[in-house]
Amino acid sequence: MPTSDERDELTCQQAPQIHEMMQAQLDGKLAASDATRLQAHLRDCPLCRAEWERMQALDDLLRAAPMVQPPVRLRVMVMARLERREQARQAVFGWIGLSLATVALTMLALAPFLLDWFYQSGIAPAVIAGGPTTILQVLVCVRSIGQAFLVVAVQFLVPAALLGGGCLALACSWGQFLFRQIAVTQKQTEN
Amino acid sequence: MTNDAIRAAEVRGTTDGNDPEAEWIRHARQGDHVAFGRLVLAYQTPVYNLAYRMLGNAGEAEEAAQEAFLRAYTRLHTYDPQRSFRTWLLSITSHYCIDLLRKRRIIWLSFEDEIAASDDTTKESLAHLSANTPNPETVVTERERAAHIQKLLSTLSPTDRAAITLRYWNDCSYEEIAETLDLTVSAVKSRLHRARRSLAQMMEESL
Repeated sequence: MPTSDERDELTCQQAPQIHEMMQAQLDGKLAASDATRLQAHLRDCPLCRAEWERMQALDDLLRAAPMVQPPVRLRVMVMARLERREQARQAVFGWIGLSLATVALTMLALAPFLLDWFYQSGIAPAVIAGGPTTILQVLVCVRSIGQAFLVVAVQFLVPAALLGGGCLALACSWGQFLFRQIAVTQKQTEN
Repeated sequence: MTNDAIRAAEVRGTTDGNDPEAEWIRHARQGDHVAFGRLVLAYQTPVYNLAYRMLGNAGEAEEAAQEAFLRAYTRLHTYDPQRSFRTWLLSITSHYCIDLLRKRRIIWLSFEDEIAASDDTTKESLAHLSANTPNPETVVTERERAAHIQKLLSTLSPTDRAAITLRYWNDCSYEEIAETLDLTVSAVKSRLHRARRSLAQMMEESL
């Protein structure tokens, strides 16, 4: 039997075709005529015969090995992880919803002041005077800002938006209180 | 659902209108976890076996099998019902294991390390191989053979290892292996041939 080094030096000229036939034979895909040809060659070629015996030994070893059975807890673990993933997803959406609601409520609270500022500063009259096209452009701009804010909120600032909304609401309340105080002071001064 | 029906679906691996597996898949797509659990039950053995043969470690194979099923669930909306569900699922598993092996650059484990492994899950898996052969000598022989096979497989590249596993343990055709591993049929034949010659040589040298 030649050693592996000796095999490297000795080669059968039909080796590529014979090896291909060996593989097909192992996989049960060799035609009967080619199987006969293979057997005839193996009878005459010790190199290929040795190769075939090695391939057969390997094939027998691998075919005799059964499927490795999974641990009984595998299915339970998969379903548990699936449930946790679903719960986490719902929690994220819950946070996003809460943050958006907070921001919306804050904007509603600030709306009277913002609208008053828009009119006082001349922005609102200018937009209205610009006609429907200008109003549409402003709305598109506001929507873009809103979408950008949503992307950032979803990605990074979910808890920060909640905190920011709270701060804005607090600032709104204090602002209202200060305005009222200033108005009362001015009235007292005039009297 | 009877065990016979589940096994039949597992062996068939294809979906059709009369196959309960098609119903499970349809319900799982709509978020039915119970239906997906049935799919897990039907395919946990081939998925785990593929992961174990590729990774060589029962703990990592279990983790990989879990991850493969979770990925399958999140990607169910991309599954084409015209395609074999088994092939699609094994494709997810093999690609995950191949990526893991490439990141880890697995090094061949010594024969002695395999025998001396104190991993309970490894012992559990190997013990199941000889569940019906209580003869202690046979048990040891089975474990040695299993370790020897893993030692041989660990010498192959990740893709070759996947091809050999799909051929010998999942009884996949060349076309199914090609579809699973995103290769051409000729590439599959070439890889199988090369892997077999390499394994045969390693086996001879280890004797």
